[in-house]
Amino acid sequence: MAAVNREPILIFERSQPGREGTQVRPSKEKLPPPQLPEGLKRTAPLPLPEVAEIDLVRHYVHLSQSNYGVDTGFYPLGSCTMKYNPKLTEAVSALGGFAAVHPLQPASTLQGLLRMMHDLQLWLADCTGMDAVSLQPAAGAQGEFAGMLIFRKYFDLKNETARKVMLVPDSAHGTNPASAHIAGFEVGEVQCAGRGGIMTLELTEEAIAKFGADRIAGIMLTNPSTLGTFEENILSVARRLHEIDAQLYYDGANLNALLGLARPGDMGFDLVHLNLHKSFSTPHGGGGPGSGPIGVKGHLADLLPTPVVALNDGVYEFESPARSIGRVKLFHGQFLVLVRAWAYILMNGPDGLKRIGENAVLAANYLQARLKDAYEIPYATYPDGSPRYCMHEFVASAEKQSESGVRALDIAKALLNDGFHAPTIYFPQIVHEALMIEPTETESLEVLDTFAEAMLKYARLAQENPEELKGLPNLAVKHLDEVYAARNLNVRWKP
Amino acid sequence: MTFVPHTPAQRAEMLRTIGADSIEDLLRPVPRELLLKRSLIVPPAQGEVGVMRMAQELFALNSPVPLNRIFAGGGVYPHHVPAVVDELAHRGEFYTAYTPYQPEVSQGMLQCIYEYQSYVCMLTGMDMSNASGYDGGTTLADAVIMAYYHGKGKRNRVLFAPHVSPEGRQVCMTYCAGIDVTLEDVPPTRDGRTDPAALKQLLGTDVAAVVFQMPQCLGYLEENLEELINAVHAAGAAAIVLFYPMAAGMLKSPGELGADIVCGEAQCLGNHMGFGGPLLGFLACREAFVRVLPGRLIGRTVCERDGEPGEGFVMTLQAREQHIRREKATSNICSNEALLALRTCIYMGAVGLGGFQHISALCHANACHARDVLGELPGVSDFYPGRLFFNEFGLRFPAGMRDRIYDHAIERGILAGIKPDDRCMEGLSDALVFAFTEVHRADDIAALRDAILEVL
Repeated sequence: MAAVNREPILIFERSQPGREGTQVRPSKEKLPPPQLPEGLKRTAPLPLPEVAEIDLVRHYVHLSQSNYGVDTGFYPLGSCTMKYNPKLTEAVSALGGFAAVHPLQPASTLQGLLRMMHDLQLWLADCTGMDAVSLQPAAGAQGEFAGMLIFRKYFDLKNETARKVMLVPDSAHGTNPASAHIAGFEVGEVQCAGRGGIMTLELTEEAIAKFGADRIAGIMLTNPSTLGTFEENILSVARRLHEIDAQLYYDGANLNALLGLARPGDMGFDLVHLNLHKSFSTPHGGGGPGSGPIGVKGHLADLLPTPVVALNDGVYEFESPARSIGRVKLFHGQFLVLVRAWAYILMNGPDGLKRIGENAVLAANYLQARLKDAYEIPYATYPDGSPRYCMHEFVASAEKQSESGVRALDIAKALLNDGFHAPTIYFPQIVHEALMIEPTETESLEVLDTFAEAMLKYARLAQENPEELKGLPNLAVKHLDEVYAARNLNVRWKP
Repeated sequence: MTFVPHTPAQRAEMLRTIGADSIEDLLRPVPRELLLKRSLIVPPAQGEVGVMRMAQELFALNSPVPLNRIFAGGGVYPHHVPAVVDELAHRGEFYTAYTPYQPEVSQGMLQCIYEYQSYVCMLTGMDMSNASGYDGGTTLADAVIMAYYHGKGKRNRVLFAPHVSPEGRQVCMTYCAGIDVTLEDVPPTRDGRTDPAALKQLLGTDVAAVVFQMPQCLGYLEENLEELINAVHAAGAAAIVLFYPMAAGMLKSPGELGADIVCGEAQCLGNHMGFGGPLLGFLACREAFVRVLPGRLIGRTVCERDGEPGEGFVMTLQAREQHIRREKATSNICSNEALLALRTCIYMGAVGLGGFQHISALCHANACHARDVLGELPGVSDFYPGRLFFNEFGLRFPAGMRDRIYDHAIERGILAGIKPDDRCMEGLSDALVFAFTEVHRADDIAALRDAILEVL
């Protein structure tokens, strides 16, 4: 990494009055006086910086060198699916025919773009085993929220106003209970931890007894769960819940384990969301843009968010589903992200998509096998002690290591020191000192082995010399104080 | 073509280490009846050549309109994206990174978002900005929900001034389904302004917020916005302004006019239109609203740099967010529009003070010139005669001609504005709303005029 200054230098601090930046239009152009209301005309100048383009470039190149992406190295964040982002998808999405189009240009003059979206709707429906798809939601969480509103409307239309409870397992990602809550549901937590970590018929019966068959609207499940375990009882759980007409929601964050192998629609799910920035390899962008299309079974199709792309007598059109929950965002969705997913599916074809699921599961089990003696992996065995294969990720615990004072946080920082990105730590909350590891299918065996060897080294150090491990890392920047940040809130530069 | 690097020998080696016979073996936890017995129905694998060819085949089905002949706004505008923005934002360390939960290896992105937050505060006149929302519609919904929670849920009405984005309002309706809020409209004057008397009548102690758009969605400016906001405050409600940030080069920021929460669409600052996505929602507020501000927030803090005391950046006040609050969260946002926020940050630094002022001035000047040129055409009149605008305005055309003009323009490779009735604005079938930016020159405006004249 590049040399580090003690104080970060902000772009505003590189400003020199009178310096010209990028010339979008020649600055010497003279313009007539503006025709604006006096009371609204700007009087105070904006404190924008004045930097030369060369200095701007060096500023952001330098900052990029203090950042770690998949292009830099291994990034085993559980449930994030940090797989390789193919460069061809970047090039396709940059084509002017996609990128320089106004969203309100009439659909009748953009049949090619609507066809792409319609095809993608069909392909995603087939990948998930669902009947209809909306490409609108901007991220998984927005797909979840749309899904929750769809469930609410489904019951409202049947006059079942008591259906207020959404079941959510304790291993769920935070967005699940948050989405249910902001849609107006009461969250009913199901304790799967200590009961094998997955949903069972017994847990289902207990929930029905506890909340009431007429009060449960549905359940939100991730399959595989955030523990990396397949929901083995899903068919019987789905059957039981459908008996009381509760709806099943599938959080698609872990779809990478199943792509081409099994489909949530076949498991009994009524609504799924996908994270295109996970299984479909669109880049994470440092925190977005994502894309969270949702798929539904037929009985929910006319509640989808507006608009969807329909094919009517050979013409592609935007349509508003008859009983739509409404619009969840402006225009048609994260279009240039959809383009990347479209290109990704085309590059893989049906065989390539199946290889994704197979190899994601293979890579995760390989790491689990290599680490299971040195680290506790609570769900690497069934409750009866027999070995259990994980799906595309597994959750290791630093429980053993914490006996000598080494915690998951220390291991994560040691990995950063050794040039890896750390796995997800302290999630799911039901595993103590959790390290959630998802290698994905795009990492070579050499990378997997280097990672495994580093983890084994830390386990040894934790036993033999915990202080040395805790003394790492020798990162250029460390001990960023989050308490100080919250107490001395500084979220913008002031001139 | 796939991106799986394992050779058959390596797959066999991995299986041996695991102690499994085959991949099918690893799938033992999956019930047999769930395993797919057929291939997925997608086209056969293409190479790069095939994918590019398929993209070109799609384009052949479109009527292309070059950037400089797009005269449409409505939230997304045909601005120029400087080359340096595309190039810098496309560094793999930025765009292939995850959310900066591990700040030690994410100082680059964290600083960029801190700079972005700073720019948003400058342009809006607010105290703090979040790290982005999905777009100008969802951040409007966020603003409404913020006002609701700020009022502790006791104020259940939100008023919309005339001519606020119809799509934005629709998104608010969807998002408010989960809380107890009703949306109401303030009637306009005959020329589309907020009627101050009507506003005062509708205000009350049960109003959480009033939403204004600046400029209004047809492009016009409300001269007395500051007075209107004063009236809102007098009733104890919050003033929300949906703002087009490019206008900040020429106009006061909404903060200077008294706004409490400012939101909007920042695609105009360094991002491609992309047929409507991805976009960049910004959301900023006065300090008093920070506890209800959704989304990520990057804060500056102390740290150690090479063993010496130093400063750096972290995600802060995470206790507001879904991964901490879970079923008590007021927003569920996780992934946002970070890469577009990075692009906007780079854009603002690239064009800088002089460039931004000039681009903003050009948007306005081009619109004024176009209005003069088009307003002279036979039978064409201003949508709201005498009203001032920033870079967007409406014109009415002779009865029955509007659609023919629009279609003819497309044939000439011109997008002649937006049909307001397409955006759920009733009774406007003779009108078009035009927008102008720094990409337009006199010859583009002349071409637009000629295309219209050919039909009139």
